[in-house]
Amino acid sequence: MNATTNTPYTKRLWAPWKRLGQYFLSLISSMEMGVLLLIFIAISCIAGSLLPQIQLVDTGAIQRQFGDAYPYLNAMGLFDLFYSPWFIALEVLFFFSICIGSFRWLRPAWLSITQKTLMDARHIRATSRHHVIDVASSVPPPEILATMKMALEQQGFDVTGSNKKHPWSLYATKGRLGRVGPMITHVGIALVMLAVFWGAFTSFTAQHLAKPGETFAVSESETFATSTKPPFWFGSIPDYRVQIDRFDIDFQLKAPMVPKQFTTHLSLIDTVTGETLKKGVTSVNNPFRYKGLTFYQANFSPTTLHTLTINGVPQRVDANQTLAGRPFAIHPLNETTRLFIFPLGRFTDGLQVNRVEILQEKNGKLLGFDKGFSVKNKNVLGLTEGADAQAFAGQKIGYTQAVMSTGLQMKYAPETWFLYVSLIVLALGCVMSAIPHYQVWLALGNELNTFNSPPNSVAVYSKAKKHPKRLARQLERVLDKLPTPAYKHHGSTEIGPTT
Amino acid sequence: MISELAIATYTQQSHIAFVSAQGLAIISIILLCVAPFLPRPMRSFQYGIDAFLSVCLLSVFILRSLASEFFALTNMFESLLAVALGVVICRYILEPRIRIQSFHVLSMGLVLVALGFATTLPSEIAILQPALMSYWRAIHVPIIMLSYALLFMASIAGVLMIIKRGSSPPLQRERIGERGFSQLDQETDCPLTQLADRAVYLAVPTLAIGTALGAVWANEAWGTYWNWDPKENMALATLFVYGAYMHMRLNTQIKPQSLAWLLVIGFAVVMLTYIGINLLGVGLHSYGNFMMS
Repeated sequence: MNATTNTPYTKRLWAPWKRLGQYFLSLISSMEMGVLLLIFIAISCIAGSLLPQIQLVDTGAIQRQFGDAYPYLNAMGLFDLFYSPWFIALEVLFFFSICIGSFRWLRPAWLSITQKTLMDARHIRATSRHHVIDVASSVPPPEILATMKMALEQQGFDVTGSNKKHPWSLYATKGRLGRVGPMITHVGIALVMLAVFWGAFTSFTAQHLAKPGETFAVSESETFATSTKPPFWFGSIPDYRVQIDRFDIDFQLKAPMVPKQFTTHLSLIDTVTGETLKKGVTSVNNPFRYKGLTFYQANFSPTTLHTLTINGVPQRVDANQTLAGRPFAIHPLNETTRLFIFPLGRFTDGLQVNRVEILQEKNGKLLGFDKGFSVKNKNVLGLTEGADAQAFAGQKIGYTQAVMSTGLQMKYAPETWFLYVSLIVLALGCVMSAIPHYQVWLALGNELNTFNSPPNSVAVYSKAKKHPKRLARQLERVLDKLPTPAYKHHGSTEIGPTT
Repeated sequence: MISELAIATYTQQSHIAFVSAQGLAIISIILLCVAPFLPRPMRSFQYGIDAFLSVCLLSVFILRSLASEFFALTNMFESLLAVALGVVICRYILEPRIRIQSFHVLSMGLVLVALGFATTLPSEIAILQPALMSYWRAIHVPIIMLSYALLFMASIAGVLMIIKRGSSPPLQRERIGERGFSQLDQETDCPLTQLADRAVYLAVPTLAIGTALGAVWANEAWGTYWNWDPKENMALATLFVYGAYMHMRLNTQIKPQSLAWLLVIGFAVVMLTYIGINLLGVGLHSYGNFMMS
């Protein structure tokens, strides 16, 4: 008893909320809202491109550029626009608009291509792009219909017969892929957004500048970032270590100082057993993948390591000490003599080559140091990377190379495959959308209860999604097939319910 | 490894092809302007000139690619040539019979401006950054350039719609019109509207596919498929502006002529995406600058 009395009350209680919900659903899924969101996001993207963003420009520089206006603009999130709450809110709204809207706008499209329903007069009247032709002929209407069916099929239309639910004698359609294209496109966009959403909770990126021979864990990288913080982040971090075996830079032949490609040889080492799990190579545009983690070759940087040759034997020195504010390395030659190697960097004398200056220390006295680092001093040897070895301190010394450290970017993005599938769906939808879709309805006059058409006639209703003239030409060819035709055109204003 | 002599020869020949293209573009636009006063057989001469112009522009790419040993679409100079080639070819796809003369004149004007602008830019073959040495460049960049060419032509149609608003003559009754098909939807059947629609319906999928492929390339090269880089943002803005146009075209309450303004705004957005952003010199796409890398 209580239940029966409570139900109407509950319904009454929920009724305004239900109406409100329906109103919001209707609002968010409306075409107008969709267009507004498209325009707002476009404007935001333009603003985000023209205004400096903190990901690309130093915050201090932005403050200097905007002066007193900076705090206000910053509070509006304009310098971190794409991560600002209001832009994320726009994206979320857009996602829901496209998901809910697609069901609402494109359901009729789906039904029209499946030919099941929505071929009633009300539907045709709701569309403004239609053409009405009454085909009054001395030939009996059924014969006209048969001729037109054949002619439409010759034009590539898929023709179906009458449906008990609707008054049409014939329904013909062409280019169904074009009709379904926007639907696929919308689904593709929604899937892309879902993929990005998935990535926000599972992916991470890390960057690390590593010297050859160095070993590091991914989580110990110089920068390690997840899109969202735990407990919302539920990705996984690999437990193995990365070892840099070798790093090579290949320079352009036409411009020897411009890198053509840089390549890192690396090994993945099991933390517990110390075993090599996998060896791999990564270079720009050729990432190395292992169990969901991708290693990208991002950049390179000079290190303190340098390779010399002493009497033809390669020797690696580390300029990790400083003398008079300059980095240097010490390499002992014998019990009384040591070499002090001072790297000069890559831009000496306007040449983009690495140079070192080498001094010798004999019995605890650094020769040539009091004169500064002048290469004219006979106690100072200036060497260019890759040049011939020279005699110094009783040895033949050459400078092979300045060892570079490799800049690796590591990314764990389990959503990538899903994103690629979504992009394929999106691209497919875009291509399909370019195909024009035509619909033609044929009806005998006496079947048309809801339109003003003469009873002894056949009416042709058509609708074109793109290229209406092409459809008109095709219909023209169809009408040409009719015996002794007599045409009377009815304009759109004549369409309407007889009631 | 190609010899220095061969490089010099290819470079010189590409320069000749470029200068010839400029000359042919001028002849083409003059022919288009005087077409109404020419006898009909002379008008077909136009097709020959445009075909030769396309061959010349294509030759520039082929010769520069031979000289550089990679697909030579790497800097602003070459991209302008690509857009010019796209406009010359696509205007025949959109309007093959040259019935809207003003559209063809303005399109060729755009080609002339692009080629003229290209002469002010360094034309030396660029030395590529490692990130650009990828087969993806030969896929992503031409598709984007093609979409820009189509969008420029949509904008030209939009400008003409605005200029001709009110002064447009009644719709020509063609053979199909005799039975009344073209009497309805006069706005839709307006040749300029159809032209703009056709250009946008082709350009938007092209741009979307080009951007999607760019995201895949970015993921291979940079480890991120979307970085909110200025060029990427502007590509998205362009897609959304024209997406708004396509959706507004579905609303039959809005006259296509009213949407012509959106096409003009779209032109400004495309220009900002294509050229304007490069002036900022920031972001991952900054090598698309006016100066060579």
